[in-house]
Amino acid sequence: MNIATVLQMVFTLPNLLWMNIGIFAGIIVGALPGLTGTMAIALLLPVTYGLDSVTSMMLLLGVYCGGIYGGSITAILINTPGTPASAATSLDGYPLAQKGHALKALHMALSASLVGGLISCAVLLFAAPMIAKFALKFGAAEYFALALFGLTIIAGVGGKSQIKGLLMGFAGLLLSCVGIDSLDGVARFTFGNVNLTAGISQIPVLIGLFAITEIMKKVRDIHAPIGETVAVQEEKIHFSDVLRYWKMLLKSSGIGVFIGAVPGTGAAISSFMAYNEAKRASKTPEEFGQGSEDGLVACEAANNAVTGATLIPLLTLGIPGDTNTAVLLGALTMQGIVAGPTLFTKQANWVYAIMIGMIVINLLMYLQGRLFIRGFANINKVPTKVLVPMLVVLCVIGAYATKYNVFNALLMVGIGIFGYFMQKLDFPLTPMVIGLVLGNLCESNMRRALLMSRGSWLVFVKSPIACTFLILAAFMLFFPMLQKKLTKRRAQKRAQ
Amino acid sequence: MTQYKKDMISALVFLIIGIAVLISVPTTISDKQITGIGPRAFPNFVGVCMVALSLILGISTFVRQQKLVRAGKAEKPRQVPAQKRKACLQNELRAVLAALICLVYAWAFDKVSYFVSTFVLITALLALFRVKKPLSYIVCYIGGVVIWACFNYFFSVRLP
Repeated sequence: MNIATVLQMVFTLPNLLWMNIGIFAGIIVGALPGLTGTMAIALLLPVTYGLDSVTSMMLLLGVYCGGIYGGSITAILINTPGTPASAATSLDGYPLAQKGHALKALHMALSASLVGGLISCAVLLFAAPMIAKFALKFGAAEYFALALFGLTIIAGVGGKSQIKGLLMGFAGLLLSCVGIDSLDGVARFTFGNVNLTAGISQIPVLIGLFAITEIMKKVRDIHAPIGETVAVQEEKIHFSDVLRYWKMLLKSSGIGVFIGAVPGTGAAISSFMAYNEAKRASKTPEEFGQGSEDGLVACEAANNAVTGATLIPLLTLGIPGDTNTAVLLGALTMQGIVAGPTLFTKQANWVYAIMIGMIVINLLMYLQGRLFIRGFANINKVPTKVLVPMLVVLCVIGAYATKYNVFNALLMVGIGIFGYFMQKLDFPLTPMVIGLVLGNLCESNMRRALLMSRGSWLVFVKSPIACTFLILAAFMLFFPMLQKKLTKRRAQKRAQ
Repeated sequence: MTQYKKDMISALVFLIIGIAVLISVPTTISDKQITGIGPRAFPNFVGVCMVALSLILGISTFVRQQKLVRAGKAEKPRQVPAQKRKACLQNELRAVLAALICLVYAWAFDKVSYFVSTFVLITALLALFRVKKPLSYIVCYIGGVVIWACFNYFFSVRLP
């Protein structure tokens, strides 16, 4: 590997131009509910035909990173996560924006995304082969234990009532059961409807639960003066303001890198895990869900930390880390690049050019974000009566565009109505999303592991990695209850 | 609505869902068990957990309420003036009506063209908001066209 050659490969005018185009396209697509970075990468694949391999990867990676960050914009401003990865961002980003701190929330999300992205790039640069070896040790039992650990996050985001949070989590798990069973090929809860055979997509559920519910609330509260908007406070935010949360950033980025390096997981899981960990470790956990900056920073650092980490299994083993990198693998194949262990020896300059290019992409994403942040924040100045019809149109198109199927749009509205009434009964909505995202991963790997162990449940205990996650899951589930009892006892002792 | 009523309704809703799941699993899911744990196991597990959790919620709410009643601290329903109650009910009906408008829009989206259904949706919602300024209608109609153009030409999403 020749550093001078690598830098020459990265810092060319076409590369910088296409990086910026990719980042911009990614941010816009990521912000729009229903459109995902995966879709944008797939749409731009034909554009890469005429570009050289480094330039085409810079374009597509720009879309990838921009897409992950872009989802946070609508999550913060209108409580409509653009991507599943930003669902956790809306928990504290939206309340913060509602208090008039939209600019601050957007800045913090952008800065945290930059830090998360840079940390994952550093790990990619220096530790990729080592982490890839660890990721290879993940089998069905380990995936099940990881998914179960992820499900225990429900206990953390369950709001005031843990039982209600768990019930919504199980509702999400139930939704994940709909469709053709992946192992036995049997239809479950399809009721003869061909639209349900492929299962329930995450996007319509996400848009329904967050956007439609919010739209219904806005319409219900219309007795407030028509045209009322939330005043956006003029705040000067510097990058150094986010560095106050350096411990949170490091921890969340670490979680994001770990989850991203394991194939088949994704940014949504990492952002929820990081959020839950931030809440557990916080001295003021009651502020979470009310506009906590800790919560916002944790989610955004974690979900962008996935971007570099998902390239680890892709480049070192030829295994895509998530759906975005699966499409990137297609792009690599088109360019005649064979991903795998030999890539680092046969095309070392190319690999390191990509890694350094990722660092540049994250920096350019930050600059673009800073440039457009005020424009994004002005969405809050649009009168509600004008914003709501536009949101409805965007939501319906977004749900329709997932599979070009009106059924998804109807499902979205139905889920939204369900979510609205559940919120009135003090049910948190986030656990349902977590259940839906993790349900299939949990069930299919549990059954696969038991199939391979011929029905022996010891398979989950024999693996040290699986065992560790199961212990952590038990800890996450029972720790909040124990903490409450301990706090009660201490309060009683003090009273005595 | 008092917290007691909310929790009891919540418990009842999920008890019904859980029981419905447990009843529908053997009738809707074939028992073609090729693998060790069949396709019914996980939905059954989810149904059982829902029933169990809703019973726990219902019973704990009832017990808590009895304790509060005995201590004389039970939450009393707030005396809301009839006019305010009527206004709250109107607000809720408005929200439900908006959702129904969205449902009809989603259904008509494919049947009628994007432009016609979006025009009707925007008009209906703005009328629900009692918007009288023509400029707001024009801005929203233009917004609908811009959205169509963006999706059709930039994102290659063909709208009906």
